[in-house]
Amino acid sequence: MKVSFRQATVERTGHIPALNQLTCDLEFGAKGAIALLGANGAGKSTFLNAILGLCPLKSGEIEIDGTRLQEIRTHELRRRIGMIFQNADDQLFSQTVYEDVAFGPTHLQISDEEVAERVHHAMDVMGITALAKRDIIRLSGGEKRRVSLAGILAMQPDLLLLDEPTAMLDPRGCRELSECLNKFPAAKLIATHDLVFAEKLCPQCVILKDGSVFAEGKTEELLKDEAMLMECGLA
Amino acid sequence: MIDPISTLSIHSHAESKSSVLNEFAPLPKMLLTVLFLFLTVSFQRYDWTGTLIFAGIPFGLAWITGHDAGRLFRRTLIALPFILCAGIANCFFDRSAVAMPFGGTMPGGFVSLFVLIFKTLATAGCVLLLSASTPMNDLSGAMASLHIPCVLILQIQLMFRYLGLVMTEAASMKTAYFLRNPECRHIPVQDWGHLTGHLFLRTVERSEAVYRAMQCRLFHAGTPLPRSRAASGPERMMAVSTGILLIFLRCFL
Ligand SMILES: Nc1ncnc2c1ncn2[C@@H]1O[C@H](COP(=O)(O)OP(=O)(O)O)[C@@H](O)[C@H]1O
Ligand SMILES: [Mg+2]
Repeated sequence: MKVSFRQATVERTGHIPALNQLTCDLEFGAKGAIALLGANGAGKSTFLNAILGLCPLKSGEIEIDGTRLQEIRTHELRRRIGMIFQNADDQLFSQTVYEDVAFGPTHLQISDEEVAERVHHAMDVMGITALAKRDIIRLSGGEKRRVSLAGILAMQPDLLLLDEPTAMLDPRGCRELSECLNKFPAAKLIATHDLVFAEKLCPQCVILKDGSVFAEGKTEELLKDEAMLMECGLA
Repeated sequence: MIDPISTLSIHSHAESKSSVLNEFAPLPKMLLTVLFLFLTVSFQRYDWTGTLIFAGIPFGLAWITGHDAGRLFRRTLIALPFILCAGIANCFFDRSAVAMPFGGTMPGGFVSLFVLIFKTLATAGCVLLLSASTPMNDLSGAMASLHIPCVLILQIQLMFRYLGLVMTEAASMKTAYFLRNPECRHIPVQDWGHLTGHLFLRTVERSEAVYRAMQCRLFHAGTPLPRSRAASGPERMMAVSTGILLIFLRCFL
């Protein structure tokens, strides 16, 4: 899967460009992971939202596998690309864990049996089968993350976008999350400022600063460059 | 001082163990609730015996079927202040004498205040019990099978979701307020204005985020609604006889 930004500009309210003439190419292998690094306000969330067409471009283009975003049916786009929101409470809106994991698949025009099968499989992979009947609002942060992941996994996307997945997780939560992500059978784009987490999961990375690409390349090498990290607010 | 979200939330205990009431098919349950509301409201304004018995029904039912009747009652009380304001005013205006069963009379305003309280307990209790024993999806399914327009059901679903958001936001704002103001026992009235304004903004913000998350998982207005389980033969019999019993009670009380 390939995602390309061509001089993309996004303005949020207040007219500060959140993405400023941003150009980059992201090539994902089948289960490849790329890190999107940047300080707070660098534009990571906006970048992810733009891929799903959730914030309109003022100018420029975004292409998925060579097709312009406007030419892809929204339904198709959102089936192929799943997103984990920064705040798990925004992501989980159903009453029970089972209902929430089933929310996506029930909108996929597949049989009830297949929905149930997908939900059970997703809950099994994420290790939350025991939580199936629990109320969403009574879960811990780590459990909420895994429920969010199961909800997306059940939709079987090709690409998974994650917005600051380690925010609000303790070290054990982070460890469990990286195990879950390793089991997740899709390409991943992980927006984060957690350098340790990024280095562990993503061989490649893109660094954003003030809404444009500041550097891109091998994570291992880029993260050695203290001066550069200092300049873009990551060290 | 700090309410746990559970007492505020309208998301009820869906995780409670399965009870007869939880297992019962959603459509007859909903229809019975509507009938019950209708009958309760139809009581005359001095009919305190009838309303008292009806007020007992939801809590009795909750108790029998293994739901937490005490918790249900506490939640129902939230609706009372509004009713009390209206009812107490009545006490001053309505002074006609109403005969009591053991001889003697009571002022009409006083009796109608109690009738109002009982009616509130009955209706609010019944609706809360329904929502505690039936997931929102099943209720929407039941409404869909009654051919209620999809737009309306959607509206109700979203409202339910956003009400939950307002509740959690309000709870966390209240907690934050009291934590930085430990001496204070009630939020002073002059602070209410900006707090509610803030609550509104926060809720709008969060509901936008939630809506985006729903879109990402392929939700769009007009998608097929989930179907709910149809009622079995015995369940229908049971529902019809309960309905007749309720009507009978209403007529002869
Ligand atoms: N809801 C919003 N309304 C207006 N401006 C916003 C909003 N969200 C973010 N911004 C602005 O967009 C820019 C990029 O933000 P964002 O993409 O959230 O960065 P990051 O996720 O890297 O922290 C920031 O300058 C921020 O002030
Ligand atoms: Mg962000």
